[in-house]
Amino acid sequence: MNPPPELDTPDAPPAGAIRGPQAALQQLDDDVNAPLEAFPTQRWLKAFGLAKIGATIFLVCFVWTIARGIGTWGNNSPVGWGFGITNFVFWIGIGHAGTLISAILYLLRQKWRTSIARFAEAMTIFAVIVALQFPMVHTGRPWLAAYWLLPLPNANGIWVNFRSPLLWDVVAVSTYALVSLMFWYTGLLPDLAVARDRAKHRVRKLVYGILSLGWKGSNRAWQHYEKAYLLFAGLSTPLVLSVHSVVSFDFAVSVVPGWHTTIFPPYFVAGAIFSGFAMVATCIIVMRKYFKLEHIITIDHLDVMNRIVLVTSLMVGYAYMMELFIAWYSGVVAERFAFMNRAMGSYGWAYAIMVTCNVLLPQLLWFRKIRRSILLMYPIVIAVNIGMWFERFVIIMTLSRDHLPSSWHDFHPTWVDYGLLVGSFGLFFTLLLLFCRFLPTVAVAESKAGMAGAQPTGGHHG
Amino acid sequence: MSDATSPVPAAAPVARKVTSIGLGLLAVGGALSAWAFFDEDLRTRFGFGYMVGFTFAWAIVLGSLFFVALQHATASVWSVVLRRVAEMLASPMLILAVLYIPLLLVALLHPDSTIFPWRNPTSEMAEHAVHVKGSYLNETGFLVRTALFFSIWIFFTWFFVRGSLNQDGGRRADITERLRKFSGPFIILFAFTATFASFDWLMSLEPNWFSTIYGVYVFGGITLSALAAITLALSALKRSGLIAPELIRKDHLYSLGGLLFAFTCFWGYIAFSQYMLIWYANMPEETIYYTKRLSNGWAGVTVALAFVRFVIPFLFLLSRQVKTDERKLGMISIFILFGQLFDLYWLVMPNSFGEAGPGFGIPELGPVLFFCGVLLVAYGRFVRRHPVVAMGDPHFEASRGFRLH
Repeated sequence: MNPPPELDTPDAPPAGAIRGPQAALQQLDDDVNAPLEAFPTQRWLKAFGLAKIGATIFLVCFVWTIARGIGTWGNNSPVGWGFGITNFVFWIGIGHAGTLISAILYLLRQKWRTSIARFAEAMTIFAVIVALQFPMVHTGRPWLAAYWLLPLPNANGIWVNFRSPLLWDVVAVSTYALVSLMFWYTGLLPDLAVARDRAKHRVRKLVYGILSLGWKGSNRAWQHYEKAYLLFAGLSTPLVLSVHSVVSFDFAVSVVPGWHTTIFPPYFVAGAIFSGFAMVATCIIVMRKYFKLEHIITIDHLDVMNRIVLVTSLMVGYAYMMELFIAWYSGVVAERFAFMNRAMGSYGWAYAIMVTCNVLLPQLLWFRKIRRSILLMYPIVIAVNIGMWFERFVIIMTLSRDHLPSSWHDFHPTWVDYGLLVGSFGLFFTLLLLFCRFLPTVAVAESKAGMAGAQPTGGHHG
Repeated sequence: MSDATSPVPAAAPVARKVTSIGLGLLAVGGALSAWAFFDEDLRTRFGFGYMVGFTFAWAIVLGSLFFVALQHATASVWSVVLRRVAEMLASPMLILAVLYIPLLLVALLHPDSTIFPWRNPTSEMAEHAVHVKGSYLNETGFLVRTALFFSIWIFFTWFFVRGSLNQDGGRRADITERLRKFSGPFIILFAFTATFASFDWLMSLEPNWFSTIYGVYVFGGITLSALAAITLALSALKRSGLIAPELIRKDHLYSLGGLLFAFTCFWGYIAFSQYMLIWYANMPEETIYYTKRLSNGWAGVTVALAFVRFVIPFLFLLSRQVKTDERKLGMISIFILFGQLFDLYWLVMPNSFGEAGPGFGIPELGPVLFFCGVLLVAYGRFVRRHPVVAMGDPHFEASRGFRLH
């Protein structure tokens, strides 16, 4: 990735040689910055209104839970973890596409990633913010949770259980959130500077000026930027794997049949990338249309994303099959029962939704026609979002049939459970819409580097 | 490109050299193996040794086939100049299938052999295990599955290698298109066959033990050994002049080095996941696997495995300089292949030596040498008969010009 020519070369390039691309580069600035510089459209306001209603529902249910206690949820014994952990794992999973795109695909030299990287990274951060609400509210006293969790209160003689995967979760997720945020912000700097330079209003110039940290686009700055980007990519790559692996440990270190299985870490990571990409596709398809960015986030990009959805769907399908086979092969009665119950028990319907949405429907993406048709791919990615929520639900509902038949109990969600679930989408979309309104949704500087005429040599990229 | 720098100079001397080294190893390894096989006291140990040698060769051959299919599935351009090397490494699949027979012979000639313990379970626990999973672990099922796995692999080896060789005459894009079309379905078949083969051949050595991640673990080893073999063969062929030096750039080496690094990390991740989860849950039906490998002198082997397979290659490959230096990359590739052998030893041999502690001798050495010899002879034959560069690929020129930036 090289810096865009109009910023790092003080000498004007020979006229004519670069005029065509130059115009295209200018156009890119205009297109991406347009939503930032215009008044919000009716459509945006409507969408924002809807999202805010959702966020309000979330807030109401959040406060209600705090005021009345966790008893307002459907959690019972043995299902001590109900919608709360389901939503938590679901949202953490959503967050995985962003870092995969910005880190792993960067290291794999996938140039197509530039146009969707920014948007996906932003989704990562918002998804992690939403996810964190659930363990916070489940503590019942979130204002104290910060005190219990970080900094670790060992100095007060209150030693936390370092062997608990829940504590590892705190470390893994907060590391992930911080690194993702810094990575995202570093990438934003040159584009914020562009927004600053284009700003006509003084306040606007001031705000973007502060946000861009005095970015001048000098050669030195670009060199630091490139190095930082590479280092962030290297540091984020293990994080993509570690976060959901640690989340999977929450279940897999236990001795609960159906939870304790060694394939959980890679299976959770594949599932997270799967659901993350589906969510990015879900949102970006709408965004590119309303912000008229179809020529930047093209059908080719969606095609490649659909392929990743297909590949990760196969991985998830492999894991489902391995779980079933080994449960049988193990010969352990409890293990066999857990899986029979999963597929045929009182939550068999959820298992059927999970398999249909996550394994069967995505197989349609083998067809090029479907991968390249918005109308046909959209139901599939929506189905994946639903299926991946149900995957976590199915896993949690294993609890409803524990070792002691006398304690078997189904889970009945309350209105607060549903409210928090629906509201979490509202919170997420509120943040996302604000992002679309105030920050460039496409990594302009990075995209420019991939455009014709931006590179000094026209080498091949494998 | 002028004829003076034609990528495929005369192959005869190199092929002769490879073949003669291979024949030497084959003869020595074969003699040692035969000795162990005909000595009734050593026959069971030989069976396990043969399993290690066989799965070592299998990992290289099948992994290379997977690599080839992956390059087609992703329509990779960078790897076109070195894809033929992987095709060469994958080519002896049929020979491997034939060489599976001695393993069955060991079991047949030696009914008390513990090489497939589910056939005659000795302990009460194993008996129970076989009782509950007998509909999978039985002789008919085992033979049918093994035959099915090899049929699939042999067919696709023929399909991918023949297709690529057919392109050598002219740049037929239709062949690339066809290979690409079937690469996706093959990778799915590969995932299942490799997984169940690893269950049948390796995991069932301890029939009452089970782990859902086992197939992924073996997959990590397969891919890693194929990548190392490709790097090593590439560098050997280049040094012998069979591949023109300007054809393989630092950019290609760096990419291979990067993949070696990535899969070294992948193996570490999978191995750690399996160990950590079993250690943490501490359930006897699972921990038997590790207690066996952490007692009676096996603890040293287990700790060494972590270093050989992960720590040392990880630290080496971290450096960008190593990843672009052909000689160093070749050295680390040899080390990674040794790591694969060591890993297979760790997976298989605790069942051979049991409480006697780790050991090594003729029954273990013979088969490994034998299989190295078999592979080298097969590769010598390939080099003599076919160009080692897929010049007919429509993307060949683009691949030559591959640059990292």
